[in-house]
Amino acid sequence: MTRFSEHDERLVTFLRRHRPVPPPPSELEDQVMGAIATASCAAYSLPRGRWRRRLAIPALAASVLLVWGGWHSLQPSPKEESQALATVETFLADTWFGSVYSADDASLAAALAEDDWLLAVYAVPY
Amino acid sequence: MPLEPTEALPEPLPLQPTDGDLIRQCLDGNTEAFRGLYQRYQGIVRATLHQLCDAEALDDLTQEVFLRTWRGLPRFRQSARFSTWIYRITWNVATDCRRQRGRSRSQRQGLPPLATTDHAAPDWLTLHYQDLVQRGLQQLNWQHRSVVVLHDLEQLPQKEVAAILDIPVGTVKSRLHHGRITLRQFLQREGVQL
Repeated sequence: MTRFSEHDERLVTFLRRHRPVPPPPSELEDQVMGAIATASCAAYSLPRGRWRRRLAIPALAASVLLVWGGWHSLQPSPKEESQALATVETFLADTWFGSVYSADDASLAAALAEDDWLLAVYAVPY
Repeated sequence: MPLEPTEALPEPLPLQPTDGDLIRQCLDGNTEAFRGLYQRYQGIVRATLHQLCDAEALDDLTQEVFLRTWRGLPRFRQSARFSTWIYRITWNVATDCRRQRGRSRSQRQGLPPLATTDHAAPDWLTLHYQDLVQRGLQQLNWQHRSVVVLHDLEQLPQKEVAAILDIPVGTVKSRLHHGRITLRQFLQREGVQL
């Protein structure tokens, strides 16, 4: 315990002897316990509620990201798309030449550049 | 040699649950355990609030302290002293109250109602001195008043006061010194011989 000087001791003794006394409480205990009972559910379930709220936002964001990512992974890239289109065009041209012209004429058309295949159609006699 | 009847041993007193026991029961959802904490600490909470904030809305402030205590129990560290913690909450509530009412109070320096005990009406000199101490506390600034109330009136050690107010012990000593000087000067001006 703190030691007082004689000077301070007289002051502190006076203060303690005449300390202000609070008025007696009026049924405060029951009021406090009532307030506690009301607050008990909110007070102790609040952290769980907060956790739910804290988890809900990241979960929602993760779901949106997953949907967006899945959609993009299924979508072909422009390069792949143009390659697939070129393959289809080549296949159609080959099939058409093969069905209409002889093997030599068809090979001539196939040897031409991709953009020139239409010209080759007119170059080859019917 | 006949055996002398031995004196009946006194019944062992039932063990009072510690603060830790009551806190654990509260955390298990037993609200009645909180009544034990309330009964144990309401006296010091009320007295401290009265000395820090005077008598205005004392019941409301006391209730606020215990509500904050209840809400804060899940975060209370068991290694800490519960009394220090509840003093800290009390001081926080008193500080909030002072902030809210600071301006209006400075404009009307009315005297708080004097408290009397239930059993016997104190004599006029006691009332006068209680009034002087209350007014003396009002002369102090908030920092000095907090330290004087906790140390000199509530009789807490300086280390605990430092922990409650979250300040170094040296600062407690300094504030105590200045607070006492102000109080002594006030009381001497009012004719009290110390």
